[in-house]
Amino acid sequence: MASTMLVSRVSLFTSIRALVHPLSLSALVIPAAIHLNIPSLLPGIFESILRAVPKKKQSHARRRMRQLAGKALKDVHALNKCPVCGRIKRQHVLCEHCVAAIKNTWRREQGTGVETIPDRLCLGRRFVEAGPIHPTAGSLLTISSYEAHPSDIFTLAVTSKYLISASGDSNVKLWDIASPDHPLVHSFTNAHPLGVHHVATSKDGKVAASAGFGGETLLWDLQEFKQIGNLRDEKLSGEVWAISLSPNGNLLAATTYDGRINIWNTSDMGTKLRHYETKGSFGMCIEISADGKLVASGHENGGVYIFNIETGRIFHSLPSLLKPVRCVAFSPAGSLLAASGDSSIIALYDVVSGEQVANLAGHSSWIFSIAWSSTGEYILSGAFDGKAKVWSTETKACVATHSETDKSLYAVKWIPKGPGIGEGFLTAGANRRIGFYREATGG
Amino acid sequence: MASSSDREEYTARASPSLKRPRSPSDAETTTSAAPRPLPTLYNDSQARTRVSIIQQIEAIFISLSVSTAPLQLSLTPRRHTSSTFDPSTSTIRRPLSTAAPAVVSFPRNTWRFACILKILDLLHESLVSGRRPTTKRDLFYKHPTLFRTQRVVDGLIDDIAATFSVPRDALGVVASAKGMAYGDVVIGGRCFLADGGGVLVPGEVGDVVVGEEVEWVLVVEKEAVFRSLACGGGRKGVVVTGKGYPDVTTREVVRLFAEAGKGARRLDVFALVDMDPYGVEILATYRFGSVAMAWENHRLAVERAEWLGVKSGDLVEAVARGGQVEGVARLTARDRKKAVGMLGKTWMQAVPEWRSELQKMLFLNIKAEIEMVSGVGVKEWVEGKITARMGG
Repeated sequence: MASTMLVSRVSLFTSIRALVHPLSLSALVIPAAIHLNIPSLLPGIFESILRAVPKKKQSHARRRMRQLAGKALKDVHALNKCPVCGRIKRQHVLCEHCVAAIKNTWRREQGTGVETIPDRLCLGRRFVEAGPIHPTAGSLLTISSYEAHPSDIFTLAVTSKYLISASGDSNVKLWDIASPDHPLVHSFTNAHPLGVHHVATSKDGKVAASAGFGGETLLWDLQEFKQIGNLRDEKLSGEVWAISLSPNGNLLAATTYDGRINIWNTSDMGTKLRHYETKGSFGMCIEISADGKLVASGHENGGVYIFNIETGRIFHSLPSLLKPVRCVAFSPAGSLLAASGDSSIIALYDVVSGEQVANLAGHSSWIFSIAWSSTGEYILSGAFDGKAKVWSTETKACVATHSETDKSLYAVKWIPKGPGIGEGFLTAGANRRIGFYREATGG
Repeated sequence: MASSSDREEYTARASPSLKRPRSPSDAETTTSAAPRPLPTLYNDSQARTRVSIIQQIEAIFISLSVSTAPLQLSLTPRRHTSSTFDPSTSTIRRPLSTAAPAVVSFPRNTWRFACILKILDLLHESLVSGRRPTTKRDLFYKHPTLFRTQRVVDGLIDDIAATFSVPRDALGVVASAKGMAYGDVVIGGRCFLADGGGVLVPGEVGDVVVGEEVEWVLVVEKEAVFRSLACGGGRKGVVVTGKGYPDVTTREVVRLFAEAGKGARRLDVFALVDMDPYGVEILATYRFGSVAMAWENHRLAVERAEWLGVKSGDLVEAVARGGQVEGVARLTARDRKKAVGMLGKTWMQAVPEWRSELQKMLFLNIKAEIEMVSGVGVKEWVEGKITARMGG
C-alpha cells in the first residue's frame, strides 16, 4: 500500500496532492526490520530538491564586470501605479506595498504572544557591617578597618562630610567621615548592575559621579541623595573609563579605552564640551586641577598629558614613564603633578614648565593610587602588593610604610582636615575593607 | 551512563518533534488518542536506540511524501534565546515550549531544506548500515558543494540532535578527536598512563575506571601545558585538556570522572585556564554547560569544577617576584567587550569570585597566560596549589 502512495508523488506534487488521501503518521511507521533506502522513499523529488538549491552566489566583482559588459539583468520599464495605494509597482504583478501591509495585519492578528522577561541581574547581597576589627593603638596612628563591601573596592572619593566607596558589587556607599566610628550614611543600591570602577566628587562636596563596568556614568546629588544625571551612550561602549569632576561640579572629564579625553557639561548631560585626541593608548586615570583650569590624564603606554580646558589646547605632553600610568594627581596649589603606575616610581612634574622635578622611588610593586595631603607636604601612595607609603615632598623621601595587608590597594585618600578631625588617611582594595589611619588621640 | 536511566523515565512521553505540521484531522486524532504530556520544565531525553531514530527519520520522509501540507520542517531552536541558566541545578538548560520552532520550508529556504534532507539521508544510511559512527567531517565530504562549509554540517547535526532530544552520538555521528587525558584511569578499555597521555576518541567513551590513588582531576585549557603536566608518573591526579573550548566528549569524560568514586571519596575537579575572558568562558563551559548544546548539559556540566588559576592573586605574586613578568598582555577592545558581556550573564551570579576576577581584569586592563607561572615550573606550581586547596 505504502509503495503505491509513494510512487504517486513522482513528479508533479501539485496535481497529485488532491488525490492523495491524508494518512496519519502513526499508521505509516515501518517495522524496525525493514529499512528503506531514503532516495527511493522520495523518488524523483529528492533529486529535484537537491537541484533546486541555488548556485554559489556571484561575487560582486563578477556581477559588476557583467553589468559593464551589458550582460547584466535589464532594467524593468514595465511599471504602473497601484490603483489601491497609488505607489509605483510592476505591471501584472501584485503591489509589494499592499501585500506587505496585508501580511503585517495577519502577523498582528496571529499575535505570537511570546513574552520576554528582562534578564535583570539582582546582585544585592546582605552582609553584616562589622565594627572596628583591629583597633590597635600605634604610636603615631590608630588603625581601624571596616568590612565595607562584599567585593573588591576599586575606588574611593572624599568630601568634607562623606567618604564614598564603590566596588565590584552594584552599590555606591556613603560613610560619615567625621564621626569616630564612621557609620554608613546612605547606599545607592543597585546603581551599577555590573559593578563600579570609578567614583569622583566635586571639591564643594555637592555632586558625585560614578562610572560602572557596563559603560554607564551616573551623577549623584550628595545633599538629597538622589540621582541627577545619567550619561549613557549605547553605541559607544567603553566611552567612559576614569572620571574626574571639576571643583564646582559643572564639568566631568573622562578618559576612553582608545585614549580620547572628553569633557562633558554635567548640568546638561550629553553635551560634549571638549574632545582631545591622544595617541590611542588606554586612558587609565584623569584629574582636573584644583582651580578647574587644567586636566591631566595618564595612559597605558606611559604617556601623561595636560590639557587646558579654557583654551581647549594641549598644554604639555610630559616625558614618558614607559610603563602604564595608573594614577595622576595635581598638588593642592596646582604647581606640581604627580604621576605613577607600573614603573613603581612616583614622578613629580612642574606643571608650568613641564619638567620632571623629582622621582620618588621605594615601592617594589605597581602603584595604583596617589594622593596629596591638604597642605601639599605629603604624598600618600598605595601599591599592588598592599603596601601604603607616605612621602615628604620637601625631602623627597619615604617617611612611613604601612603593610597591614598583603592584598592589593586600589585606592588611597587623605581625610580632609576639619573640626574634630585629625590628620589621617584611608586605604581600600582587594581585601574589601576600608582602612582608617588617624592620629592617635589622647594617647 | 545517565542515558539508560533517562530512557526509562521518558520513553512514554512525547513523539519526535522534527516533523511537518500536521493537518487538522491528524491533530485531532493524536490529541484524543494520547493526552498531552504534562508540561515539564525540560525536554531532555527520549528513547535513544538506533532503531527509534531510524524510524523517526523515516517517518519524516514518509510524511513529506504523502501529506498535502506545504513542504516544511520545524527545528527546535538551539540558540541562546531559548536557553537559560537554571540556578536550582546550576546548569544552562533548555526550557520546554518557549520559543517557536524554526521553520524551514521548501521553496523559501531551498538550500537549508535540501541540506537537512541530505543530512537526514546520510544519517539514515549510516545508522542502517550499522557501521562504526561517522565523523562530521565525513558527512561534509559526502556533498561539499551542497553544504559549502563544515560549519553548516556541524550546526545542522546539532539542530537535528536537539530536535530529536538525543545526544549527538546517538545519531551515529561524532566529532573528530580533540580532547586528551593522562592519568591512572581506564576509559572504554584503554589505559591513559603512558607519558604524553592519550587521545579521547569520541564515541568510544564507555565505562570509566579510576585508579585507587586518584584524588583530583585537573582540566587544562592548553595542549602545551597539558604536555608539560602529562609526564613523569604521579598517580594522584588525572589531567584532561579540551584544547580550548572543550568538545562534548571531553566534557562527558570530565563529568564521568567527577561522578566516579562513591560516597565521601569524590574526586575534586580543578581547572587551569588563562586569565582572560575566554579562559573564564571555557571554565563556564565545563561548569555550567554550553548554550549551543543546552539539551545535553544535564549530563555534561560539572558543578564542582573550581578555578585553580591563573588568577589575579598569581599576578600579584609574579609582580612581587620582580623583574619582567612573562605572559602578561593588555586587554584588547574585543577582550573588554567580551568581559563586560560576560559580567551581565545570569550564571555569573552563581560565582561571585569569577565576577570579581573579571572585574579585576578590566580594572587592571591585564590578561595573563598560564605560562606566567612557568617561571617556577608548571608541574610543581600546580601540585603545590592543589595540595593547598585540598588541605584547606
